[in-house]
Amino acid sequence: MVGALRGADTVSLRTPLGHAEGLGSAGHGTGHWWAQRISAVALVPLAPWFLWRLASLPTLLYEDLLNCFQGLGDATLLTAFVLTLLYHSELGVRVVLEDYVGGGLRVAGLIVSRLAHVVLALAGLLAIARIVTQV
Amino acid sequence: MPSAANRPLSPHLSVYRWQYTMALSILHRFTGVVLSIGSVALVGCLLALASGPHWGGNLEGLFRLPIVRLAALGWTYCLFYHFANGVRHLVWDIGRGFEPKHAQLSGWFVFLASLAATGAYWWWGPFAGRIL
Repeated sequence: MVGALRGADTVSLRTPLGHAEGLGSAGHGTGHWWAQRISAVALVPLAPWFLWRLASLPTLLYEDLLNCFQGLGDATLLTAFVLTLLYHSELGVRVVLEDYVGGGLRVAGLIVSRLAHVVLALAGLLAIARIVTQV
Repeated sequence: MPSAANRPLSPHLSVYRWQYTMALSILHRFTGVVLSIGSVALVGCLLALASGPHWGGNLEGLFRLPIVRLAALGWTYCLFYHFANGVRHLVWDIGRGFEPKHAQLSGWFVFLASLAATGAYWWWGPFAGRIL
């Protein structure tokens, strides 16, 4: 009897629910949930900072916009804001697609969303690098 | 093994009595999607600024267009709403404020505060005195 129990890998002190809990349908568990919360917490100071920085602009003319984000501190925070925003956005759009879109359109949407967010993040990063070095 | 069709479904939304907190919840997702679309415009503005005085110099004129102003106004409202309601969600996540009474009260607060913040931002903010 002991041998029979040993042979099956279902023998465990953990219940079937215990095995499944936290894994989710994709096996990713609570990773998505955590990532969404952590990026949200990061955006709590970053988003108001960005709005405040825009509000402190004297005009929207080229020189003023450039000066606003050229300082290393401002450029760092702007980079953090843009990348966190896009990361949080990707996580959110993924949930919306999973919840409201079905079939092949969902798969296509998930792929397009992921790739678009990556491209936007790269473009934003390179744009900020160029803004910092602009004279 | 039962087929997928035989498995119990979670109750459909229509079995619940309509409550305004549901509208707030839907609005959270809606504003999130609008902000995602807006982030494309945000990166576009950064690229324009990075590409030099020609495109960067056009941004000022672009933001004089009423349609662009309206879009920017909508984007800031979505940001304030999603921000405030997002903080409400984070408070729930640490296990507080989830009692119906508190959740309803904080819902009203979030709704009114985001409207007030948008108004204040456009009154005193970068577009002060020239909202549309």
